[in-house]
Amino acid sequence: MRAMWRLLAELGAAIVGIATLVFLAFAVVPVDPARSVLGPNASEQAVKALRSEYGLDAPLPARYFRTMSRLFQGDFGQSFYFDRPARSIVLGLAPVTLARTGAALLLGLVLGMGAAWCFGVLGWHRWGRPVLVALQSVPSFCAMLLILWFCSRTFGRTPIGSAGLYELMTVVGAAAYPVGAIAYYVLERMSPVEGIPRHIDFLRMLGAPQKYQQLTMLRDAFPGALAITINALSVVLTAVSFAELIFGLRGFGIVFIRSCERGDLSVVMAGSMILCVVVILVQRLGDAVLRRIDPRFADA
Amino acid sequence: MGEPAPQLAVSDLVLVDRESGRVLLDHVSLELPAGRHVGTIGPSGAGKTLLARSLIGLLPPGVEVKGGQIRSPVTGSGEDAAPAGRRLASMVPQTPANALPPTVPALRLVTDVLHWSRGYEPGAARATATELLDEVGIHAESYYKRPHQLSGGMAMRVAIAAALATRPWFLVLDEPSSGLDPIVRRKLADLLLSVADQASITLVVVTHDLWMVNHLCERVIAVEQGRVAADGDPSQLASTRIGRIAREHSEVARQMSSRAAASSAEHHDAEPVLTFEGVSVDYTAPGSVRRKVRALSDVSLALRAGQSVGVIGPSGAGKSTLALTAAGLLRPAMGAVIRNPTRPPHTHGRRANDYGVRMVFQNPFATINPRYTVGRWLEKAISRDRRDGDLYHSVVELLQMVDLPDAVRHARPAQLSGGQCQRAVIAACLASGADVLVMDEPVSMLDPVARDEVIAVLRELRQRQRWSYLLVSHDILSIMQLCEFLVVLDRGCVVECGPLDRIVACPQRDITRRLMEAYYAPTRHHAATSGSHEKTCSGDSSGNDR
Amino acid sequence: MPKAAYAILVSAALLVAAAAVLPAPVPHADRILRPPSGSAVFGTDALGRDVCYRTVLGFGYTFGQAAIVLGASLLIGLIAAVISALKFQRWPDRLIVVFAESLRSYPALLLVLMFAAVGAPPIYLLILYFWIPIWRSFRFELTSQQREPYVLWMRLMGRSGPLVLLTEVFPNVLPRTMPYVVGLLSEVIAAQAAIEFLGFGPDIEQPSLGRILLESGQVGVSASWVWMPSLLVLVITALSVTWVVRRYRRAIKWVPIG
Repeated sequence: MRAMWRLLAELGAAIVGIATLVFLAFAVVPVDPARSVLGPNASEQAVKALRSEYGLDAPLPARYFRTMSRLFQGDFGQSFYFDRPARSIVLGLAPVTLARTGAALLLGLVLGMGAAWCFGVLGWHRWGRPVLVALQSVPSFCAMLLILWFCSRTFGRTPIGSAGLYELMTVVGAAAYPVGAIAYYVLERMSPVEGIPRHIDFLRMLGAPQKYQQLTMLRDAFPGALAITINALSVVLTAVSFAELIFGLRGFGIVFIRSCERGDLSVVMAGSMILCVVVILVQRLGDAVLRRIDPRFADA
Repeated sequence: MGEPAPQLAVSDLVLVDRESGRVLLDHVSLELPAGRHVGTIGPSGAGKTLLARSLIGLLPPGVEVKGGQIRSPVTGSGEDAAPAGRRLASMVPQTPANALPPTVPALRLVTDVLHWSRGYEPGAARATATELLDEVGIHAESYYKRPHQLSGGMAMRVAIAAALATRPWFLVLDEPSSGLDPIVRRKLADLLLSVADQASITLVVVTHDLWMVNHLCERVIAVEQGRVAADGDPSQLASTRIGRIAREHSEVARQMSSRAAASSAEHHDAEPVLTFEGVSVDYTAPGSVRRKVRALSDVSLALRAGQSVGVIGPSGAGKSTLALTAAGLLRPAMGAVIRNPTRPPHTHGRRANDYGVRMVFQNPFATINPRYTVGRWLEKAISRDRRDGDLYHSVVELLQMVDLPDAVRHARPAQLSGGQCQRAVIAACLASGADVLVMDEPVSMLDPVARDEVIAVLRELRQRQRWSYLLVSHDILSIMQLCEFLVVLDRGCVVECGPLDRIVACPQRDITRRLMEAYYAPTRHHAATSGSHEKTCSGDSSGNDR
Repeated sequence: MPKAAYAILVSAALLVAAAAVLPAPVPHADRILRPPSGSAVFGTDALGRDVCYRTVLGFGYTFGQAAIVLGASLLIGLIAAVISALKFQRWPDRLIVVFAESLRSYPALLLVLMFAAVGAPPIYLLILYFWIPIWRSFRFELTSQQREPYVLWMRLMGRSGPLVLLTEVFPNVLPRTMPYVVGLLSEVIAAQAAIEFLGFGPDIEQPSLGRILLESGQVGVSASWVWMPSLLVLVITALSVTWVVRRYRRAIKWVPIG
């Protein structure tokens, strides 16, 4: 029960903090939302009228108070660009982006553990490591460009005609970083620089077969791999956003990026809130799972 | 024709460190047939553990064979050539709490071992595993605990159960009594003998604990500088330095136990230098940021100038907490600790919060910053404060006072032996103007030779410097050699305190009695030479001579 | 350090210096999107500019910015770690923890994006983001050493906590943490390139790896010779950094105290 209250308090604090951050950032934005909606040729009167309609001409503290009080009622305001409630835009698109992110993380965990096992058991450490480092280090936007180039060149398929293929490629491309990070971590645990771990040495003293020793190292590494997966949420979310931008897929990532460019505060605010809540919930859930798997996390 | 008797053997073996080329074992030839328990003793770094690992064919990484051969059948998976289908040898390493697989519960570990070593099916493996764990004293409430949830003694038992599950001919144990109080040590030793007898297992014990050797072993191999210095039954150790030390220890223990009770202790009128007034200390329980556990409860005692007090108790009694609180490294939740109230006030070179209390820790290698040479570290410790006759100008002078050669000042801690390192720490106490030494197991990590050197230095300096000692230890012998007062702790409380000889001769409390009995009870092979614990009680209860 | 790593670093530095100092190849309108040939080793881009020259200069810029970010993050992270270690679990440390976790939980690039839209230089935001893993690493190492006997000994001698931390503990933990910090470099480079790709990088005249990739994407990815070198440079840099870090760890064979 106490943990529940603590979580709620944390969420509340994070929401207020992020909302304040977003508000202040957009308070000083050089982009004029009204101008960006009406275009550069609109008259000054029309721009003023639109500003007044959206309350942009009120003093800063009043705007902050109005924004925060609406926030606690679940009202993020009206999007300047889409002329619709920001909440409906975000709730309509965020699940798609989050689903892609979740699929990429799951795929990353499974493939990462599998790759580490294969490399470890087959003894492919030498060239396995550079491959895994390359997977981690390719920036996500580069990975998406590579995918676009490969698919269009090899299969002659572009995103417009092959949405299904590019959905799959989005998940695969976004999973590259967690696969590399997890597999590299697990491989390092299976063949550490500092020498044989003491508990593996003990198993050798009891005559444990090589396979059992490797399985034990893999099992030991799993909690750490899960922690990496959880921490990779932000990176994978960013990768999925890039994929939506580059492939033109329907999703929240591209909308968020464009809203930042246009200064559409309500959409950015709504998106930030939802992202913040999702990230915190996933991290806390992950911590709970980790404590269950390995009680040392509870004692740490 | 029957199968050959199993044995561990090496022949003219030469092992070197692959990187430095240093010779670790030098032309060692040894045969250990099954049937007689063997002990391997020697100073730290002599090669005892390496020899044991060589005998079972399990060299650590970075060590290579430069000559001779390991003649034991290889103990790897699928290559066990030991008779009767049993595994030749299994080993339990030092501090098994860190060596057990961290995410595997106790029962699961033993079940797995039964599965891959003896081909047991899951159901049968589980039943046998519970029997093995019960046999070593691990019961149902601990079956699903992971290593970090077990005490040191329990972790040792789980490791032994796992080793027994392989049904070896030989069971090699590396420092099995490390960190154990006398009661637990005796229980462990008796357990090992019992399981070894039942399962026809030969024990090979690598240790510098002479008590364990005397109790368990029928054959002793003394190793010095990578060579076998002596090999035979324990009586043949007499010619070695360790053998002489063993006899001295025995003599000290016997004298202490047979001394009459009553007021043989000197009456101290000196001012107190360390006073505990109703001190209670709490610490946060693992796994919780709020739950506090009381480690010390309402402890009151006083240490006077020039006095030496020993603190004993079973594991978990709060001895180390007492030491850390005395030194000022832990704050009491209740009560007060008054340190050195008559020490001269803050002067140039001495900080205002320096009370002249220094601590000698168990691990001397962790006490000296590994970045520094010993000389540089001592220079930092030299106090610019001046008191009559206590001015030390040079590191060389300090080293002489602790019986260390001048060359030590250019060495780093890792290049010294444990005894040399601990003496360097004592030299730093001299340099920094210590008045009180709080010592937490200062000799427990040391082999008998190093241990004696450190004790000798402490005795001499105590007389010369008029130091006061608060010595916390499982090692009752070192307390007998250094202290005249004794405090017995149990579950955070002082249960008995007074003159050492009186408490040893006539313990009033059950825990004290059990500790003394565990220490003094005859060992298996040396009933005649151990000190017998004669009770000469005068009917006095725990007098608090504070 | 291994000789090959030295060779890579020196070669890269020489290349960048040469590209900065030597006169730039003149772009030709009739050499737009030419594949690699004798006159242009990596070919030309959509404006007829030499891809090799731009890639080298772009690497110099991106790497330089990343190095500045890493240096500044190191300074801030260290200061925060010392505060955390001295006041572990007390309010200054808890405040830093809450602030860092809140910030870190927010997707990096989206945070940068939001503030880049404000007009703040992205480099400040990268610093704001990357001091956190450095702080976390040093906080753990410094705190884990606090109860070691050699630290307690110095405290008993009357030395103050901050003095002991800085003079005794910090030099011991530095060899273990520096490989991790250096390893962050590839992550910082990737983040810097991503910001440039989104159009928040330097002026249009200044080549940078992200801008090269952005311009390639705008004209279509089929001319792979334009963007592939930048991608390969990013990957090779990450591999080199990781390799050097790994070798360095092996060489020092750092053993925890106690």
